[in-house]
Amino acid sequence: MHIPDGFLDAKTAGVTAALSALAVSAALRRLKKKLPRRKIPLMGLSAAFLFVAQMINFPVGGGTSGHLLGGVLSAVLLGPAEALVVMVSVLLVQCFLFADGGLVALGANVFNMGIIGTLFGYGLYTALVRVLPGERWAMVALAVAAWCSTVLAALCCTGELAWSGTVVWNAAIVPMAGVHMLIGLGEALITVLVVKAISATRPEILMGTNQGGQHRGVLVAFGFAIVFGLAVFVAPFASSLPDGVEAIAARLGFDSREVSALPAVSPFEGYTVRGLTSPRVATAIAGTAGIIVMFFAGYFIARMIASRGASGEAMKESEHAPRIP
Amino acid sequence: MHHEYLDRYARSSSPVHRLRAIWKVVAAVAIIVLVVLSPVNWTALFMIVVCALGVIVALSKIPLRFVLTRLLFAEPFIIGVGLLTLFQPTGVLVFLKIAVKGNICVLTMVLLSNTTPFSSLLVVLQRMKVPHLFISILALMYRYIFLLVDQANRMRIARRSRTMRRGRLIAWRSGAGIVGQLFIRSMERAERVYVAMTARGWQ
Amino acid sequence: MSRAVEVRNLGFSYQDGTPALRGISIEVDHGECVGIIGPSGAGKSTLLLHLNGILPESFDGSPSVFVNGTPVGAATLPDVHRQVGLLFQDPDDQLFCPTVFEDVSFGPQQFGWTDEEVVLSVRDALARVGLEGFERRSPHHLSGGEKHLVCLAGILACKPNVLVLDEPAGNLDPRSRRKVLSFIREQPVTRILASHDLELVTELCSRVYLLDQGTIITSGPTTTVLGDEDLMLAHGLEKPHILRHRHPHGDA
Repeated sequence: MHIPDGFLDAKTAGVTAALSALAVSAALRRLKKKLPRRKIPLMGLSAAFLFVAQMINFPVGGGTSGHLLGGVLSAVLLGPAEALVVMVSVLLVQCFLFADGGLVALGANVFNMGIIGTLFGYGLYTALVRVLPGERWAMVALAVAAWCSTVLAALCCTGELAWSGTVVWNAAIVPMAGVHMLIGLGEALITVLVVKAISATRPEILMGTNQGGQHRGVLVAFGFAIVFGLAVFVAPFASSLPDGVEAIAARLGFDSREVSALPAVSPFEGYTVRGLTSPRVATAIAGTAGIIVMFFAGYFIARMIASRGASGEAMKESEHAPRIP
Repeated sequence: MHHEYLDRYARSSSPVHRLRAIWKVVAAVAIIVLVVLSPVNWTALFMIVVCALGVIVALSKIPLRFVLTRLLFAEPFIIGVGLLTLFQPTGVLVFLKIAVKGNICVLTMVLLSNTTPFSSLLVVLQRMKVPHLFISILALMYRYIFLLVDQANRMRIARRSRTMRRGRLIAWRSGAGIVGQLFIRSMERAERVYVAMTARGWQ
Repeated sequence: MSRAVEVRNLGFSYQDGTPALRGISIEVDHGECVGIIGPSGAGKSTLLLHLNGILPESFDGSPSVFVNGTPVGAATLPDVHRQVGLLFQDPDDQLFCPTVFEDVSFGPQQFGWTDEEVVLSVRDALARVGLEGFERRSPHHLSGGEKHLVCLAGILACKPNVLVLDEPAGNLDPRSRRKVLSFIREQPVTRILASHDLELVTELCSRVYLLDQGTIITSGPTTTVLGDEDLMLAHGLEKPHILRHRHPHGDA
């Protein structure tokens, strides 16, 4: 679910970045006061752990595999504010080292996977265990929280893409939500299995993070970010669903009312790719081809020039006086 | 799971590598922001940017195949969303937009990460007043990722050598077991790292 | 003239109440190389952690550990950390920075030295362990022996008066082991090392303390203590080969 750059427009990137910044700074301020120093290596190692855990393949079938997001897992093992900071660190490194997830889109990815995937999931989990006490129910709560946060994160992701004009909500929501409902099952299953594996060998780890209530200011900040984000990215589209349904109904002749003005296109309408023959598209395709050509042109020309000049150049080793890096 | 390719060429030597990290970061961010904010029909701008990136790839002596392979990792999302966009009015234009912009930005990042050692990047972040907690976490994280990948691989091999039956559920239980063990070992190591840091006077 | 390290009647219990150390008393003179031996679980590592002030977690009551005459307590901790360099068993626990330079410079930077002092001490420390030019390397790509040496460099950079080493040559290949051994042997500062490797202890240490179940069983010249086969076997150890083929009163 890591959104690369170029998919979101400025306003979406801006709003998500602002919400993420709000939540993260609230978490940081809280941790600055309350985080024991002893926990910092734990968070560093946990970030490394999460990074690696997200790389592990869980075969789904047909050659594809799913991966753990680990938001709810981290929050349960470390605490919500800690888990948010860890998740942000993981996203930063994934963005930089893997180019997995864009830089401008970082705010959106933090929102989806950190605020919704981690904080919301944890909130849901704590609410559920309060209602359903007992160890067996805790596993259920964990699974439900993991599933819900995955699906909701996908909804937000779709909403962000739709708000940016990249996709059309009504068309995208079915595949996106559908796929992530399945992925969510995997997330739920893995989260439960991992927590079970940990509690089998080191149960005290799970005890340690059930510290009492969170500081109210932090909760407010987290809650605001979640609610605002959902209000912007999910609610408007969810509320347009009835209109979309109406439009389809009208087209099919079930409703005699005026067809809504939304440009909702249902994939069921036929697989013709619209507008392929229009001149605008032709220009765009030509432009894209030209861009690709320019990359290779620059590359090969520079290589020719560089290799001509490199024959006399000695490889300088810059190890003389080590600066403080 | 290989860790070698993560930033295999970050420590190579080339005119690009020798540039100071801060300039590379600024340039990368500028390119990405520029590309993201530019209207789609500014084709000439994209051509110039891409040509410049091609030049940089050549000068950095990073093998072209490596760069293209790294680009490939970003394609699934682009194609996935792309398929969705194609079935809308003006869908092809949107698809081209995300394909071009997405790939340019990924290329920029791949170049940045393979011409700049991670520690240099951390110094840049530090100078940008990123909170110290993040810097510590990122440094520790980077240091131990490779170790954990090795540990995970060893665990995977050990488990596979003891598993007679195949099957998805077995694979999932095994995977979950590895993840769980990995966390426990990471936690225990974190304790020892804390002691080692304290022993050397960590403030 | 105070001793380099002195432990007076040290006792320590874990948080759950299990006693780990009882009535430990140790004296080490400046420049000596003293070994601490004993079976697994004897409390060797716990004892070593007391020498650097990591344990106990809080200092109440009268001090039991003295470094160069100074009692180890909350107020003197920063100085003790610098004076007593502690080397841990697993180098991966101790090499926690992304590059060798950052790791070796960690101590000096924590102690507030100036940039020039830090760079100088790092360069000097790496040279002393024979790893010049390793500054930009990443710890993960070092060999086991190199990791051990970088850890040693990290401690040396703080210019300690006492080196406390926990299994300094554990799991090393013969060449690296010899390197580490000769390095330790050549140090002029006080050295205290704990190890299962009795050959190493015999080669490096003039005196040993035998620890078992948290108490000092005996202490004395290395060859005497380690040469006592019955004593060794009684405490889960054995007489090292190096003493089997050597006259007990020969070169020690």
